[in-house]
Amino acid sequence: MQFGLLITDHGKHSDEKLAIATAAEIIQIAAGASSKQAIDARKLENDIIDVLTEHHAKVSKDEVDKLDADPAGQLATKLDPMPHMTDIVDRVLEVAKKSPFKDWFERDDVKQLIRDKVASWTATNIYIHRDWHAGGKTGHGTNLKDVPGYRSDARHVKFWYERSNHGMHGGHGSGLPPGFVENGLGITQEQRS
Amino acid sequence: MPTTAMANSFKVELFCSGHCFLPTYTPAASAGASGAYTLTGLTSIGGGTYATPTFAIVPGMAVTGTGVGAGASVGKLLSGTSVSVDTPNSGTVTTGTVAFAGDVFKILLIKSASPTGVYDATLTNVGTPNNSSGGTPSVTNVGTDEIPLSGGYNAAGGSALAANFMPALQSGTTATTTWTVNPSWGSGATISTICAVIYNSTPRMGAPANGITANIGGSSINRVVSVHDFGGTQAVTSGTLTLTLPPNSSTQAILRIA
Repeated sequence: MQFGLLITDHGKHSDEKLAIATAAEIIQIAAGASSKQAIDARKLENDIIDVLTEHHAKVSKDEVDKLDADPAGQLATKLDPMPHMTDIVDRVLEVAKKSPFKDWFERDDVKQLIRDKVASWTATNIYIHRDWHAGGKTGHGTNLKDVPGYRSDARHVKFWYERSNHGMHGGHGSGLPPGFVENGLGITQEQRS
Repeated sequence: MPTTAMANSFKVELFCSGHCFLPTYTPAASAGASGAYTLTGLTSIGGGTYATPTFAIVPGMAVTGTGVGAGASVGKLLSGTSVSVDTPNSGTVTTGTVAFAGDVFKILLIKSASPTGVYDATLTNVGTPNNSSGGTPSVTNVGTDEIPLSGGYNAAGGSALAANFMPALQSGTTATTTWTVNPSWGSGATISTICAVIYNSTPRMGAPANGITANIGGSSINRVVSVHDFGGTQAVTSGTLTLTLPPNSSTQAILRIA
């Protein structure tokens, strides 16, 4: 029942921090691990962080570019990690299979775990950029600037905060920010049958 | 000093159908005549196994969709493919647009500077949280113990948790649930907090619930689910605070019943 915390002063979480947080959920060193296993796991975690840093940087750039081009439109679109998930699991697995733990990463449940965790943190990454944009700042990490023509009373800004603060009491989605993930991965758990 | 705990009142409320953690379900097919109190032709009203359900409809879930009456909720399960609703359809229901949603759960943060309330299993309601006007903190009201608004933390009562994750049995005997996206507050937030409180903002129980009178008019009584201690003061300056949900496992999930 314990939350972890990720904190960044004077800006957004950097792509590197998001990658570290994501990798920490993929690589967990067991209490019974030997010293060599622990070292090998830490090396693998660092390799995965490199892959995920590149991934989060790409997600960040895509989201910031879209928000800058069309703030109202982008804040209203589905917050969906799926378009960013095409090859990232394979890239993580490619690194993992070069490690002493390659057999572990052959398991389907482990592949699903990677997919779920990367998707969840990708969604969090997108959410953070939208949240800052709704607050009038755009950019990456701590390198931020004012959104041109920003108005806190703009309809799309108010819409964003209404949904993210209060959910959608009307029904579609439980506490979902605007258009929040409505299909796709197991992380959404919304099912179509 | 806060104590991480599932609220005592929440445990009782679970036996009273007081909470619905189901994620949103959108059947591929749906139908309904204008003015009718029924939704028909649903692909299914539930799937999966008892241990790992994949989707489900239960009475009280909010319903939206093209042709569905505003503010409608599920009444009865009429068959494997139809349900009644408490509000007549406003038009002909369009197939594939109907969505059934569980309750809206929210999360708020408690200030680090001299909170006067007790944050443990005895907390029953967050009441009317507001750092400046929320009233005296008690077991039924977080009141002025909520952190002040700052940056992306810009509404009294905190933020909605997105999105409900289908409850399931993990490793044989422990049922768990969680949410899919880590709650986060940015936009230059300056926050100093000692714990978080998860609560249900959807009215679902009649009066008296949790020792305070439910608002029959429909506004929320904000019933507490759980308290989560941060182990000390956690502070962010003009930045971003993200709470990382633990793995949804039998030993770590944010909410679990053994």
